[in-house]
Amino acid sequence: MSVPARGGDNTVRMAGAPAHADPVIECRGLSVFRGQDPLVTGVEIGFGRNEVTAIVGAPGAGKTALLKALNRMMDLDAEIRIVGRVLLDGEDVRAPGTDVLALRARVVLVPARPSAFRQSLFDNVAYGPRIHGRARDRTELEQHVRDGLEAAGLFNEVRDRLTGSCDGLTPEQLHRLCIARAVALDPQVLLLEDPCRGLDPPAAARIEDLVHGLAKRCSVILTVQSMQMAGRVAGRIAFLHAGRLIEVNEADELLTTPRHRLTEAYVTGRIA
Amino acid sequence: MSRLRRSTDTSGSRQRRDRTARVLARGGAWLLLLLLALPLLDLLRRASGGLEWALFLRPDSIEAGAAGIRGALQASLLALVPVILVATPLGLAVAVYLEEIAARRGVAALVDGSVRHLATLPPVVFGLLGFGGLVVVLGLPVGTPLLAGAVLGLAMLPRVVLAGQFALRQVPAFVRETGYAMGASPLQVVTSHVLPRAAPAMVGASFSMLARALGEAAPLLLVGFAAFAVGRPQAMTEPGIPLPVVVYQWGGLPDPLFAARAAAAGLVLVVAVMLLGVAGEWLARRGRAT
Amino acid sequence: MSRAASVNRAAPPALLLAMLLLAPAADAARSHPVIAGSSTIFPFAAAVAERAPGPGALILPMGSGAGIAWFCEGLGAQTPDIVMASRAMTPEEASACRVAGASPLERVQIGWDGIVLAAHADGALPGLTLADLWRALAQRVPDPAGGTEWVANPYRSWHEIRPELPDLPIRVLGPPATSGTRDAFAALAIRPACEAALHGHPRADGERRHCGELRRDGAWVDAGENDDGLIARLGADPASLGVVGFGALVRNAGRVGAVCLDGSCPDADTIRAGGYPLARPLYLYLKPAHRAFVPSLDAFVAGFFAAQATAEGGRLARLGLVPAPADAARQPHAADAGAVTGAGWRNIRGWIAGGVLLAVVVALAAGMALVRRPVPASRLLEKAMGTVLWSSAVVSGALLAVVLATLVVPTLNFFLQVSPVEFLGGRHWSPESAIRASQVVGEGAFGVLPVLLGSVMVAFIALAFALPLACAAAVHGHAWAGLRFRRGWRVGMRLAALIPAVVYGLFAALTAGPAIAATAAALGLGAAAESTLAAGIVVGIMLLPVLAVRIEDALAAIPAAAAEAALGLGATRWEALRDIVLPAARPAIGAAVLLAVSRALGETVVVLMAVGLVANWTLDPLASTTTVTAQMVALMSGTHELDNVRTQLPFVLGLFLAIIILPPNAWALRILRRSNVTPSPVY
Repeated sequence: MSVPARGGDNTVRMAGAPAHADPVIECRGLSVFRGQDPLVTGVEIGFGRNEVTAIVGAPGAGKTALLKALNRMMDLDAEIRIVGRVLLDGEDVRAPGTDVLALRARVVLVPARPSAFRQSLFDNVAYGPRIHGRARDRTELEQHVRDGLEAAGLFNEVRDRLTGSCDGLTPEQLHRLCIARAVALDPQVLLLEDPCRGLDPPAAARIEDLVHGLAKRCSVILTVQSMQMAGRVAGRIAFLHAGRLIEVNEADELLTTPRHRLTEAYVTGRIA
Repeated sequence: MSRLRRSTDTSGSRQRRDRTARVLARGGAWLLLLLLALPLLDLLRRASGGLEWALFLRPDSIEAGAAGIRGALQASLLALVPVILVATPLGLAVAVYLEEIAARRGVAALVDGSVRHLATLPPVVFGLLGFGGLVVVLGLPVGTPLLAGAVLGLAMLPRVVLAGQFALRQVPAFVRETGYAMGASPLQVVTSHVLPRAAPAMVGASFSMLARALGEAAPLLLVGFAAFAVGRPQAMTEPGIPLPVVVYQWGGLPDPLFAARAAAAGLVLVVAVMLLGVAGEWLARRGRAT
Repeated sequence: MSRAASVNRAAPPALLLAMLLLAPAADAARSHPVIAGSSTIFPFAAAVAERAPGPGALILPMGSGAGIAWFCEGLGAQTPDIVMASRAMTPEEASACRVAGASPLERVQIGWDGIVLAAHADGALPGLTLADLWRALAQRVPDPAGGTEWVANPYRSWHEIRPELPDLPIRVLGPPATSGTRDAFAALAIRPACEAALHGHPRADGERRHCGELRRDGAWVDAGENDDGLIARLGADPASLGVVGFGALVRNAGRVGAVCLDGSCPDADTIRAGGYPLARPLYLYLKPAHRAFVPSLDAFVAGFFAAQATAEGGRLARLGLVPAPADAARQPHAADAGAVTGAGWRNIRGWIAGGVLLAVVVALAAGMALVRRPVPASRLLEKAMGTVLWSSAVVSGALLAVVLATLVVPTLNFFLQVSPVEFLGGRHWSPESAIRASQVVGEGAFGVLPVLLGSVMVAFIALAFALPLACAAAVHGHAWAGLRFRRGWRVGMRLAALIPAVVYGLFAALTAGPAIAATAAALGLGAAAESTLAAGIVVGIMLLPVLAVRIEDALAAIPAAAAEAALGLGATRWEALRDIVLPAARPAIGAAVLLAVSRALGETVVVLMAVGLVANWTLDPLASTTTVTAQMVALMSGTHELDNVRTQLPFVLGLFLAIIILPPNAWALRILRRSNVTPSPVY
């Protein structure tokens, strides 16, 4: 554990506790570039099993790039170049010959803007299990769908309209549907990009509760702008600034006693 | 073997299908480009026998050896004058009125609806409209750039209105709200807030529209331009056959030298149209950037 | 800035604009000659006019009949000064001239022409007799099986007419009913043999009415007004014959030869001496009253008699004119002078035009000047500007309404004479019909279905060809291509969509059509050089860029988040596209396709250059066909009085096309609006 550099110097150096006893995902020297511009620089971090980890930072800090590098969604953009390693259960996800699709089925990403596929509710949730051939028959598929919907706390609300379209869903239900779609794959890690964006406070609070509860099933990594929300949902918080990881620590500790000057400034709202 | 590398059968075949789709799509894109290039390459090949400097200096002739496009070029440029001076500003003014000022009912709604549908009519129909309205009723002189410009302007008018409306719709609502918040009148909001923002798109679309008008032959064939004009027009009311019609006429003649001339004139037409089109794209982009 | 200053600023451009536009419209007089009529005389007139002094002439080859009809609409700048006539005016036409006040006229015989039956240079047809020609081309002939009744012409092959003749299909391309050559051909070649055969026939009176009518079952093809264009079509179809003027034969020596008739072959001597059976005089009729504003009329006429030009090897001789001696040529015609009417009416029209234009221009100039800079919050100014903008909307609306009325009126007149049931349900399209009462052309057949079928087939082939490619390209751009490629690609496609149709028309006529015909022939399939397939494919190529851009727009309108969500679940790009993006974009893609279909249906120049002029009720893509738009152009006669079925027809077709195209377009626009796609109106 490195010595915290409180106040004083302006250098950006990792603070907190990057190492994790048994990380489900571990980044080693991970850098992401778009063309020549660095989006994420030299990140070293481990994400704990069955834990909620929040990546916090101002817009443009590189949160999303880091999150999407974890299941190689960044590869889809031809201009992106990635250096360093991402280990899933100790295996390099970027090793040649890796089955990217299987990787993404294990480490599922839910993008920030919720969107329903133009299909029935059932087919929306069944999409993941279907494309990955998880269900041998209809009963199994229904099991996956029900499982996903229940985990997202949506099943009781929509059980009567599973074959209907998604048009009438409230924004909160849409968020839940997207999470249900991901959970139906029974992923090892769930990546949530800014999961409460655009929701009114009560709905956001309910989604926060949901995310908190999901940690029982899988590891959750989410990006969020607000330190307060991170404190409510996450067990651990990683603070990102200008593409660099500034500090990682237990949520309570990071919020109450930030070790780095920038973290402190962000926690107290002096930089945004 | 590790868990990640053990690619399942389904996943392998899915990746293969993805690659196939990608290869097909890319192949389609290249084939499309190739097919688009084909007529132009053919034009270049044929034009080599008919392209000479004198082509630009001589007016049309019934003898292929003496035929040139000077008169046709002049007629085409003169025909753009009414499009530039009347159809374009009129169309844009209508767009401003419909989009920014009029309530969507009564006359405005009627004009709005008819413009939108007229814009999808093929240009050739406007040739008939031009003949009935401009030649027979208004008595514009046949075979002159004035008539050509009026017909082309008529054909382009609904499209210009539509293009203007689209440009205005791209201007975000907050721009107007900012203006109104300061107590500006609707017209002040339009002139000092909305129009400066919409202008690049409007100008760009107008240039593209000019390029289309320059290359359009179909409506002109219906209003008496399938004819021969001696010399070159010095004014809007002197006989002149616009370039695309001349290309069309030469292309239908049996003399192979005329075919070569047609190709050369077609090449000139393509270059002129592209110049206008590129200018339009450039202006629209430059406006967006600033 | 004061109000006065802004008005002052507006004044000069407004004045300039008004002068620029109104000077010509208010004073409709012109000083250049306008010469219309026979396409046989057209090349000679053009050659003469090229060398004539004075302002450049406008020469319109529209056919003697149509030319005379326009010429006889009255005096004044809106009518031609000279009509080229490859036959003498009929008494009926002369009296029309008189009634409209266009008389007195002067008639000048500029030379002789022989109507030539042209065959491809390698053609195998030996000489014919006029009787052969009559049997081959008349609408009604004696029953070959015997009996006194005459029947609709049953002959398919020249061989059936006379056993010595080769077994070639009877197909003759000739000019339409607006042409003097057609009238003269019917009068000189068909009518005499018919009359002779009817001599002593019991039912002669009933049949005589039809003497001179040409077949309307496809053996006679109305191939347009232009002799040289007809020769070009002949080159593509060596088995056919063409009815053209002698000049076309001379100009295209080497490409085509003449079939000798009644043992006499056409050349300058047989035509002038009268040995060739189809020789006829060529005339110019001119309005002396027009000398007042077109000073160069006489110089133009004199050009036909310049010794240098008419001598052996001279310009006119090389073009194939058989000159008439100058001294005997000129004579006054229809000497009784009528009152000059019509001119006043035309002046009023000029004034109306001027008034409308002035209103528009002043309104605009004022509007532009006001719009230019921020205006002070003056109520008056506000109101003025509002009025300007409002009136431009009303003016545009009124303009469009007036011109729409010009479509509807001739159409209504047409349907007073032709039943809508025949038009919409008939399968026979043979629209040539008399443009004046005494003309023997026979009843036209106005079943639009085969023409519509041609249009639909061209559009179908174009879409079938273009859609997969455009989809593939759009999908590539949307899903796989990099951002920079995509941006360049879109600009490129937008620019490519501006390439004029006439360029594609050239490609179709000169390269694609013959290439496809040759390929089909190599595969053992019979294909016309002007096949539907060639036209469809070239129209398809033309649609590619627009379609690609529109489909890409449709894909881009689907929120990227949907595809991203699928990718996040481990879908491949293709799966995300297939399962998520394409289904969501399907309505907008459908709308783009609908717009492309209507664009293909309305495409004119390409099909005009690539397809034929005969309506065929066939689904064979290798056969030649015609389209609604091609017929519109081919049938447009150019006469201003739309008083008979033949001249109203283009307007009927235009309205028909508009009615077919508008509903699907309206539907497509609605779908696009609902899908948040704004289709660029440029294309």
